[in-house]
Amino acid sequence: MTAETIPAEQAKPDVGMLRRRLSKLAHSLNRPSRLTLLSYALCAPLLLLLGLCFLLPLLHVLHTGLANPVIGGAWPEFIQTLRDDHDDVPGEPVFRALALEMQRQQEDKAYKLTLKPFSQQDPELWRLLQHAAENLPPKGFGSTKAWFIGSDPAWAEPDTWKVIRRVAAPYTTYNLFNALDVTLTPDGNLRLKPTERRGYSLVIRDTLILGFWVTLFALLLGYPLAYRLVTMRKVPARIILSGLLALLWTSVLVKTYAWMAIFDRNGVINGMLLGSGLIEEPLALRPSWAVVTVAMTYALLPFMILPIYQSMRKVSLDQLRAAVSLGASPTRAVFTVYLPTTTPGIAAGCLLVFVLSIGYYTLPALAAGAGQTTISMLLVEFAVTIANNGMAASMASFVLLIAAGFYFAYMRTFAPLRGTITRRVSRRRNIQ
Amino acid sequence: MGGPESQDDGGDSLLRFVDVHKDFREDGSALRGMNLDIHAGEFLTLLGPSGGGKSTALMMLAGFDTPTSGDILYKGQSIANIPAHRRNFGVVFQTRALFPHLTALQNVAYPLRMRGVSRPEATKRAREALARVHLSPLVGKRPAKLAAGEQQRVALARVMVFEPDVIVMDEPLAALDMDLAIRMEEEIRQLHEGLGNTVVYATQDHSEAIALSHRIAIMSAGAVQQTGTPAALYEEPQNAYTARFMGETNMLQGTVTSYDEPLCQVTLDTGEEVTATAISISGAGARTRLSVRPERLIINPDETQAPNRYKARVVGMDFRGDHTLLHLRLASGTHLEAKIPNGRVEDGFGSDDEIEVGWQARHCRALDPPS
Repeated sequence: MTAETIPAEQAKPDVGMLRRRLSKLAHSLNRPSRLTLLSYALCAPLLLLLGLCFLLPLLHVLHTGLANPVIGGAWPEFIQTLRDDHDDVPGEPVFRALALEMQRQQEDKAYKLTLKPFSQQDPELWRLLQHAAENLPPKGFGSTKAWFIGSDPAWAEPDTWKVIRRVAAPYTTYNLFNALDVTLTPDGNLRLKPTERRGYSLVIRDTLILGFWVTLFALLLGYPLAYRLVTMRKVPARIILSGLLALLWTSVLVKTYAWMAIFDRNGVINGMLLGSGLIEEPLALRPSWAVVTVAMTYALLPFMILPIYQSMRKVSLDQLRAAVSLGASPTRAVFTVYLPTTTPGIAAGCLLVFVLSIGYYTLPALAAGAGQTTISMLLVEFAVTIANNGMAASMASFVLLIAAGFYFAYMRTFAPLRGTITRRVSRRRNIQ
Repeated sequence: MGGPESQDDGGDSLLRFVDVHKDFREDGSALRGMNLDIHAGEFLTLLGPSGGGKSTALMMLAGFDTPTSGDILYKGQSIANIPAHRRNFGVVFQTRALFPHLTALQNVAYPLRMRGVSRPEATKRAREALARVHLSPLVGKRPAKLAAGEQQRVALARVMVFEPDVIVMDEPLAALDMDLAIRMEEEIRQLHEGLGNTVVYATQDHSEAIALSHRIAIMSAGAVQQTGTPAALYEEPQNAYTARFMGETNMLQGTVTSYDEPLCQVTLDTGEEVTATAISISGAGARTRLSVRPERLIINPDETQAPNRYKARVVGMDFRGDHTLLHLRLASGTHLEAKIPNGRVEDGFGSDDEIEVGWQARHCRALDPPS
């Protein structure tokens, strides 16, 4: 071989060395221990924050909604012994603990407050307990249980104890059912409250209807707008997108008051209508559901447009051309290709807008009229005004439940279409 | 500037571009008087650089765009204003353009469903088409889960399944790895042989065009430069552009001193006298470019082998597997490249050796002058 071929020969060992280095690198990447530990360590502050600031409060809310605080604090000894006893009609220690607790409370008549939750469950039981508390067995009486049963045979009834156990239980579904205007009868059946006593379920219904309309209007406005953005030139599209982001950054209060000013008695709309001579007297446009719907649609529109815009950007002109060249008329191409390809974006947008709208507070609180209440307004009422944490937590749990339900429905439907990125990454890893 | 061979055929053509112009498109490409005849059943490739007008021509052929002036004829009838979905032409895109929400099978059944074929029948025929491209096990997969080559095979099946009158392929292999592209080339050729459709194909890769086509049309600057069989274009280019685009060549500039059909004498700018075949020169005194393919250079030729013989020095040898590329420098400084089959390299010479190099007049073509 001549001198001229030397560069080629020199190149060979270089390639070999490079390959060895690469395989070494690949090998070290395949060893999970150090890298995985490091990645977890790097994520640790985030995970900690997530746990402390998100999971913990969430669990606390769920717990508060189910916890039974009223009796939980009082009569601790009685409740403890009752929980240790699993008979239909408990034994002597339970009766003795009950008598003892009642005696302790006798002096300051505090037992009446403790009895309140029993009266909510069953007036008959309340009467029974009150009678016992006022005629406690004399000291030295042999069997406390016998005395109780002697004073009223109802104490020997398993049904009586069923109700007592329910009231004394650490957890109660009372708040949850109450939030749906449903009561639990002593025999364990669910019954809707009479119409005139219903209220909470109507609030939930109104909120869901509001969310539905807001989502629908946002979709009807957002889809064409997103389409226009995709087909637009880059620079104007970017300006409009940053405008949408600015809408997100604007304070909710500012947006709310702006709309209130528009719909006010002396506002823009009335001014225009009066000026054009269409009406003589200003219309009472506010407060009303209409204002809330319009303002919320406006405030949540970016959440609809952005995911749809993203999904539309993924549809290439070639896909539409392909559809047409394969024999679809342009209209048919839209319905068989464009719409289905952008459906994940539509679903994501609807999910975001709906979930956000059923949790919206400031806007409906300021713009809705009398008797027009949303879940979050009721929630604030419970948490701040009435200080009924149980009901507030139950309401919050419902919002969470509805949101989670829609989210899982979304994931079940669209997860097969996504996730291609993770699969690609794992395939690449397999190659090494 | 349509080459002399662009209207070479009197036979009936299935498709005909007649002086098609297309003014400014957003990507900057345009057509400036494209003329081309395409015969029924042939595999014709538009070969040229990006921006040469290939895509513009194909998109108009498929019906996604209309000419500014001129006409496109199909069986003698103008189709310039017939919308794409009424043409019954199939298009294969470089981007594959599969529908992401449909499985491979549904993708292939799509054109049949659009033509009102019943679902069971469409599914059956789609399965057959996918079997023909060896994708039977993957019919239920969505495009995102298929590899690039598999996606392109689905796209092929989707076009073949409805038996289009013409199949338009716009650089279908450009986005694939070289290995895969070569295998797909083979597959496309077999499919075409099996079905006999008319295929109009676009590529930037001359070896791909040579491997696939019956005829090639070289396109640049929005017009067809030359059409012909791959062999004719490679061995007998009519202009410097074609000579260079079809493969490696030695391009030498000079002035014609005497012109005697079919040969001419050229004095290179560096001084050498060369006898060449006159192709597109106006006469004595004209400027010209000479093209000699590197594999036509003969090392140490004898008198009968080559009238053109020059002393040269070997300044470099590149081993290329099946051949070795020699870098030669003539006394005047002119640089030449010669391809020598590897069986011939061992005998005799190495780097820095003084040798003689030559070529036959018929392999040296005097083409149009540099612009």
